[in-house]
Amino acid sequence: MNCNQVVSENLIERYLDGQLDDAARDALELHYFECESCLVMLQTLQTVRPALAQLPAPVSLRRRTAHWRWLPIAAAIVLAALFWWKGRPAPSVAQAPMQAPILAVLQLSDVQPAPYSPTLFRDGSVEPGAAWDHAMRLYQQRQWAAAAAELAQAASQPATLHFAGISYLLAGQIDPALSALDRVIALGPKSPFEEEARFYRAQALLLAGRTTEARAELDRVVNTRGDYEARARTLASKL
Amino acid sequence: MTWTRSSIVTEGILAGSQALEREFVEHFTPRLAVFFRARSPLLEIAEELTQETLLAALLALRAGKLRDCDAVGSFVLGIARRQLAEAFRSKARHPVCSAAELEDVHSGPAPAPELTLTVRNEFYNLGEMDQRILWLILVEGHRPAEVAAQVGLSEDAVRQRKSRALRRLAEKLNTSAVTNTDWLTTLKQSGSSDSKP
Repeated sequence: MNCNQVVSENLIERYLDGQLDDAARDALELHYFECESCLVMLQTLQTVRPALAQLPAPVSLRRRTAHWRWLPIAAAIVLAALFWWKGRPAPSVAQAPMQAPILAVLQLSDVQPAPYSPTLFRDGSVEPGAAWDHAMRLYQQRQWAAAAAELAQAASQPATLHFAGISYLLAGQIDPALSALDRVIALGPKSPFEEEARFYRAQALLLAGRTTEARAELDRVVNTRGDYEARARTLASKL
Repeated sequence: MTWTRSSIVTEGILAGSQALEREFVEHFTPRLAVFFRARSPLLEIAEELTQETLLAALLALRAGKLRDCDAVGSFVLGIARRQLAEAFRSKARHPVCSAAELEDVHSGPAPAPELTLTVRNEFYNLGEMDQRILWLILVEGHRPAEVAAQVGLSEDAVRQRKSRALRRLAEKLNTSAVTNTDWLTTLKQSGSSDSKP
């Protein structure tokens, strides 16, 4: 085996993904035990891949993803509008005020997951056990619906409720997201997640089209003068 | 490409040189760390197995069990594979983690927050095309040929851009493993190799 073969056959990625057969895997291992540059590439990939997986996708790819994700919803809206248009009574001139078009200020793909570090519990609470670990691993892997379902089942502490709410939101399930985040906010200052929960609640309200309530929630986040002040201000300025 | 100092080092270890034992450990620690991280899901086990393998290899070298000094890489790798197989057998007998964790050997540990921050900063410093290429290959798991079709470049260009971007990240991250040889000092105090280099 040589370095050209390693590069041309994507052996390092396939090795890390467990996709090589035994012979190829053994040959690659023997190779990187001798080859400094392939060793460095392996070290880099082992470091970079899990870190990259925690980041939002690059903007250009988010645009691509967003288009496809919203296509069925857009189609449904168009169809619904069509049915409503055909079935509605004809308005008189006096009943048809001119309205400015409402543009979405937030799309689901704009919502960023809250940072999570396995060793960091901001309220000092501990969620021991495999259920929490597994759910948060799903969260880190961006499997929002699965993470939300598991966290909701295990929800007993602010951290669990909070991440359940965010996972529901990122999965596009607005009502359960609002329900979980409301419970976190109801804990008040006892919960270290209050500010973050309010910011995510505001985003959930925006996605639900409840702009007035969203604006009020964003104002509360701004007035907290905390970590989310700037982001809340930016989002509020678009309303 | 072989380790040019393998003969010198292994013969020196046989002769009782502490300095060459240290060089041996520094050479193989990052290799073993990569091997065990790739093959084992739990970081603690990876670190433990790295040290156990180095210890077993050193003891074997001191005892003159390596016949071909140029084949020291495959010698150490063979010991590492045996240690790994034994660890998996042991885990199967006395599980300390779930079966799912054992099966999910490629998920790896979550990176430290500061490391994620460094990667994020460096990643966003890359050009938009390089970001797309790295993301599609490393996170979404596409092959370079598929990425080439998506981004409108040749497959070779995609490979080159990926390699160049990864080299830049590697330089920034300085991924060479830190070699902790404290345990080697402990081994010296209780072991048989006391002669000076």
